[in-house]
Amino acid sequence: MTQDAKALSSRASSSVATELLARPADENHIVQFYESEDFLCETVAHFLGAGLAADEPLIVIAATDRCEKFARRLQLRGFDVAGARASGQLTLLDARATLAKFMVDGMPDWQRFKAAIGGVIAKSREGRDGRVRAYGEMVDILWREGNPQAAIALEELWNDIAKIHSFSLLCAYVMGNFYKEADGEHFHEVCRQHTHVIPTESFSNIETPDDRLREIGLLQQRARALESEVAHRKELEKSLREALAARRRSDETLRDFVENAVYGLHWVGADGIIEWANKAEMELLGYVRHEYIGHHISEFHADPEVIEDMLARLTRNETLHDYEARLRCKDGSIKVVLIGSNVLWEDGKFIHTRCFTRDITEKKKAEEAKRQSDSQLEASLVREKEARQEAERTVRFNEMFAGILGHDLRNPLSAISTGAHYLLRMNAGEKVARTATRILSSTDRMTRMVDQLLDFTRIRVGDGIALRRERVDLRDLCRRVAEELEAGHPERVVRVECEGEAIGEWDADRLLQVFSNLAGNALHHGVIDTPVDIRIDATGPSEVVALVHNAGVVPSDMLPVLFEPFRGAYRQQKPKGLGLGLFITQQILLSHGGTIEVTSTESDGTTVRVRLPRTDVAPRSGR
Amino acid sequence: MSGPAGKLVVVVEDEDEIRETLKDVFEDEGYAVAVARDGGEALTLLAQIRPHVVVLDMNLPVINGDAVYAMLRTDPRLVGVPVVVSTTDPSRAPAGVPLVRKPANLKHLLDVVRRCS
Repeated sequence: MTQDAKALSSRASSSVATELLARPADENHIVQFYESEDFLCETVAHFLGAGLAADEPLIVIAATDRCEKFARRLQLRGFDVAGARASGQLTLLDARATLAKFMVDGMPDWQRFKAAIGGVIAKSREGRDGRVRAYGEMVDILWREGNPQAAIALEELWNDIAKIHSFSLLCAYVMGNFYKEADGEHFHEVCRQHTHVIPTESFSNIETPDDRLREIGLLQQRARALESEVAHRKELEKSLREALAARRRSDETLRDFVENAVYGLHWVGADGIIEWANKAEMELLGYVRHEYIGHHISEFHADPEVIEDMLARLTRNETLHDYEARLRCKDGSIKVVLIGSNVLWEDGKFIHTRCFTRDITEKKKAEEAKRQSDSQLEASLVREKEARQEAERTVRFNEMFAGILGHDLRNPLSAISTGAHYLLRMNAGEKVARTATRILSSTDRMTRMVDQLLDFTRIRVGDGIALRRERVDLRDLCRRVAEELEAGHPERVVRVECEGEAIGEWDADRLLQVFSNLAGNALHHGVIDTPVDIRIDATGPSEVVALVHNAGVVPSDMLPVLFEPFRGAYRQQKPKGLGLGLFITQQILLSHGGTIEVTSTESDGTTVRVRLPRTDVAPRSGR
Repeated sequence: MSGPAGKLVVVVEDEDEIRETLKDVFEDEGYAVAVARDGGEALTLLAQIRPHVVVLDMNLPVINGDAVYAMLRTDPRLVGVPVVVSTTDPSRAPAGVPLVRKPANLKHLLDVVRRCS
């Protein structure tokens, strides 16, 4: 006999439970909760043994091995189990087989139950007086199988059938079925379905009422403590759940931060394989994740030595700041980036890099463009400087050239001319005079050409024609021109007409040069038997207009280029001068603030119109 | 117009050929002629004599024609002495001064000098 069984039997007479189980009344529906198999077997044996002793019919519906255990216990108590079975007093039924008779779709069916169980009860009572005593653990099986609704429904059916057949019933539930907090309601329901409830052995075995009260107090305290603990745990659980949710939100925020960052981010493992990359990195290079992640980082670097160096530095636990690299995009283009990176180490182990990638391609392009533009600017500055130096050299050369023309060449010419004049004055004979005259003529021509070249050079250098202004009467000046021309060409007529007072502040020598040139041209290129007319209109207060006219015609293709320098060099006929006469004439007039225009038609001949402001006004720049 | 006989002409000219020819020409015409080959010589000469007329070139070594002319116009002893400028560059000639442009027409030069002296 076990310790529990001994304890049970020793206080059986004083125990309410033991008394109830020994002599249950009709329709008593008792539930026994238990913790140990041994206690259950002893309790059921006590219940059945009392029945056997009272010659009551007994029905046991339990698992087959349980039935055997109960039988052994009864035998140990001195009962003739085999005889009781043989006489029909003791009916042992397998619980699962019995359940199968009335369970439909997981729930007990009343009609089937009534037929199966009612039949067993009726049969058990045949030929016997006294109440039927039944023990069943089908509800326990249903409960253990996780079908408490069916268990409670079955309890109800037991109560219902008790109204048809008179019997007392003992059910047993292992207490382990109800240890979860949620089982509380079901536990109550189970208790409600029974007329008597017997607690487990830990209470039932307490012998004195005082100890039981103490135990109840302890159990109440434990129940409250457990309830409080449950509440506390619920609080904890809630806090934990909230903390987890907060952590999840924080994780999501961080994930969003790195995933949607403006800079590209990626991790590279110790083996150089890309383990993770964010959206910006993908978009920067144009790859989708599987084309990038899982590949070796060096596949995406345009310069193998650069990534080798980067990985070597990172492996040495260096931190990279703004390391410039060139990455190859999916479309084949190259992005210039600055990479910042260091390594996450754990216990000295390289876990992965933390790489930040910043695209500076556009900035680099702009810098390159600026560098090129600077370099072009520098080159153009150099060219400009060279051109300026060249221009300065040209100016110096021109000045030197002008100096040579102006002074050094003219002095020997002057000496020749003076000598020739002197010879003429000697009255040294006709031949000497003729020769001296030819020398003078050539000297004059050469002097004119030198003068023109000097003027041209000065105009070209930008100095313009220097004027020596004095009070000049243009009518007198033109008459002198006419006289000199007529003296040289006795067969021609040069007429001068003037209206008004042709007085102005002009350079007399230069105007002599102008009108000698204009009237001389009219004489040489005009019609021989017509006069050259110089008509001066000096009626205006601020300017004088002079027209030089003859009947000749300037070819129309010549008109637009009449004032171009060296024009004579392109003429077919042998030139009498350098072709600078009209160019210099125009420049002299421009220096005076005046103008010159030429019109030439078959009907009206050629007219040169000269306009001269009487006083010094800002001259128009000319060349 | 009075004759040049006995009148003193100073010719300031750095070109030897011109200076010597002019000396001959003026002497043929009856002038007394003194010559200077640069501005320095001219000032030395004019410190000693007071000519009737000075024929002055503008481009001169040592002291330029402008400076010589300025001295002539500021020295009270010489301020009345007429000056005829003979130059290759008329723009450099002082305003209001008789000018004979080089290469000079000898007849024109003699006329101008005769009128001035």
